[in-house]
Amino acid sequence: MKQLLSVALGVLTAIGGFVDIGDLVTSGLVGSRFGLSLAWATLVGVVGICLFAEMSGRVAAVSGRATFDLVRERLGPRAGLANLAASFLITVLTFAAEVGGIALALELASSVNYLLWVPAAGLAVWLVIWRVRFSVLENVFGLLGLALVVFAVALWKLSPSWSDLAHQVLAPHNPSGEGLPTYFYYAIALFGAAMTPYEVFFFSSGGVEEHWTKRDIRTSRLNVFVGFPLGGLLSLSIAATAALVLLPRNIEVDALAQVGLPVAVAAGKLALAAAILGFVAATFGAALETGLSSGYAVAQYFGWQWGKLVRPREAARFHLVVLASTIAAVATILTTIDPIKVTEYSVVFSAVALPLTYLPILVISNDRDYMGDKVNGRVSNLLGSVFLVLVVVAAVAAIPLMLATKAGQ
Amino acid sequence: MIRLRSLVIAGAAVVAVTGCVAPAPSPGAFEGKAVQTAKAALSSVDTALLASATAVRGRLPQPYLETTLSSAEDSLSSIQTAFDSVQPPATATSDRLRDTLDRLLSRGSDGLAQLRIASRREDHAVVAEATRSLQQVADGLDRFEQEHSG
Amino acid sequence: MTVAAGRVIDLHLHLLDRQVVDPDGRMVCKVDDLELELDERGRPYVTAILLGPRALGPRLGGRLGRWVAAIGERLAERDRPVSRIDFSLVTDIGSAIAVSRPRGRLDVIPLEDWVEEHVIARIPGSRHESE
Repeated sequence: MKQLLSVALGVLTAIGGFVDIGDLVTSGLVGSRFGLSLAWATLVGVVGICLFAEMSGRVAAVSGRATFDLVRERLGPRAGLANLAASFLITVLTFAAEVGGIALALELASSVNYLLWVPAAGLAVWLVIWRVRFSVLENVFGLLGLALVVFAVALWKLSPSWSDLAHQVLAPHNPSGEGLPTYFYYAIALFGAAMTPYEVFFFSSGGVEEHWTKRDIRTSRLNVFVGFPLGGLLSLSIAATAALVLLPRNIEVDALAQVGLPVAVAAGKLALAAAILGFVAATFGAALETGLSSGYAVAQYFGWQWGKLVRPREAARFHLVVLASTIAAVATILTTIDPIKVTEYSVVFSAVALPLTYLPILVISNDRDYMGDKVNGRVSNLLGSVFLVLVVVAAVAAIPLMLATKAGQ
Repeated sequence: MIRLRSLVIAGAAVVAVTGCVAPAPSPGAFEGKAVQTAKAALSSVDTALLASATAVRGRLPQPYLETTLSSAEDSLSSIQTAFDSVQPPATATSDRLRDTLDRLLSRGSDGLAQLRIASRREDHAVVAEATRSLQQVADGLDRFEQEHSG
Repeated sequence: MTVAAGRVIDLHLHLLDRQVVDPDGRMVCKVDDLELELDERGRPYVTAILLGPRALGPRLGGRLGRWVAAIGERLAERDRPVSRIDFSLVTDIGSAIAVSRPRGRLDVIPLEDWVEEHVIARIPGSRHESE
């Protein structure tokens, strides 16, 4: 019974933890501009994150080493350092976007300007990282993030023509008025939002800290293969409500407020309150994950002690990096740069950086030296290779498409 | 190798700089820009209208309404600033185009400000009035977009 | 050493850039470089693990490598040699390199100690485990 509960908890937190500011904004934006005609990009991204999160979880369980620990071993110190620099910058950029997201969500609840919330949000995130145990923070924010299920409820209450929605998903076409480059630019953004590298850093580091062994592989698989797809369904619900309520009214999402509006239209105040709670929990949880991940990446490259199981004193440089990243993230948002823009750039740059994370994972999970008999099976390798090609194509195309479409305008 | 690299950097810099400081566009490009502007402005105005209507139905809490309205107002004002900073080509059509759109944008800004103020005061009569005038702006923007695209 | 006799250890694949851990499972450093010596028959053997920016810099190579090494030089106390862990302390070579002496008694990561003493220890709560 206890076993079952802990499995259920893991799955629930994986669902709630899947969505972050990148998913919220990108899903809402794409739904309001392209309907569900880009749902395939989210679906592909979900398959990708399942595949690679499972691999990194398995590597963590078998070898006891987290992703970035192994990146340097496989790429060598020089390429590893370049990888670290890129991954770190993007993780901090995402961190900034999440902190902005917390502040924007709190503004929706209070009508107090988000800039006033930013320092408080940053301080709260840092305090939780400093003082609260890993399992507690994962469970609390994952479960609260489940409040985003109201988007599915709102979708149901809007009583859409399901066959029409299914048609949009299954027979994607680019609605008139938007150029093909813009269409594919947002496909890459959705892909990047679903597969953000920090999720893998966090997932594998968490596994190492909780001392996963081979016996934990099954639990971790269940979390990934059940939790992430259901989390992906939340993203799709957000896109679908935007497609039904905002698209016909010519509203293109450029603020978090617009993402929640369909919930109010369909289901009223209480549902909207749940949506705001979901926004805060999802962005706060993701801020913790990105903040920690920035520290993980640096500490694991240089071999420093990292993690939340030891006293902060014993992982001094790790905590220094986390503190510096928090300050950088807060400072970025305090420049009054639009947090939604920061979010959009963070998901696209994440897409650019995807191969940096996913290639080493694929290589290591095939290395018998580490993995023994737990190396990738044939299906994993086939899918992994297909995704690697996809990820490289997306990474190469992202920047030219960004320039050509002026970031999707 | 070093020369190639600096060439690439210089090229990227040129692309970046020319992307920012656009000289007077051609009449066609200007019209395209105007349509884009109208579309973005319509999104802001319609957001405010939807939020206000939802609030009137008792489905939107006050803080959420206020935040939505002020963010719609901010985005409309930056849309207008961006459009006004474009140097229109020296043709009568372009000038007329600019006048028509600019007037719509200004009326939109006024309407949004009026709606925000009245909403905060919960002054229902003024809210209704502002909504009506914003609806006209929305119709105007929609028409403008239809006439000038394609 | 518990490394099975006859197992071939590839310095590049099995030693360089691996994580070093102490008997308490604490992370010490990465194997940034290795110190080699020649035995009487002229065959090289590993005598120590080298660590820190001054060990890593030369392996990075190029301008970046010189830069990293120079930073290491600036941060190091005067006349302090490059940090090394004698290879006789190594007890296992697996997915991590295990050493037999606890981190605190190795005295090889002065920067960690400095950050701990001057930054982290001054923040309230740094001595307690998470709740």
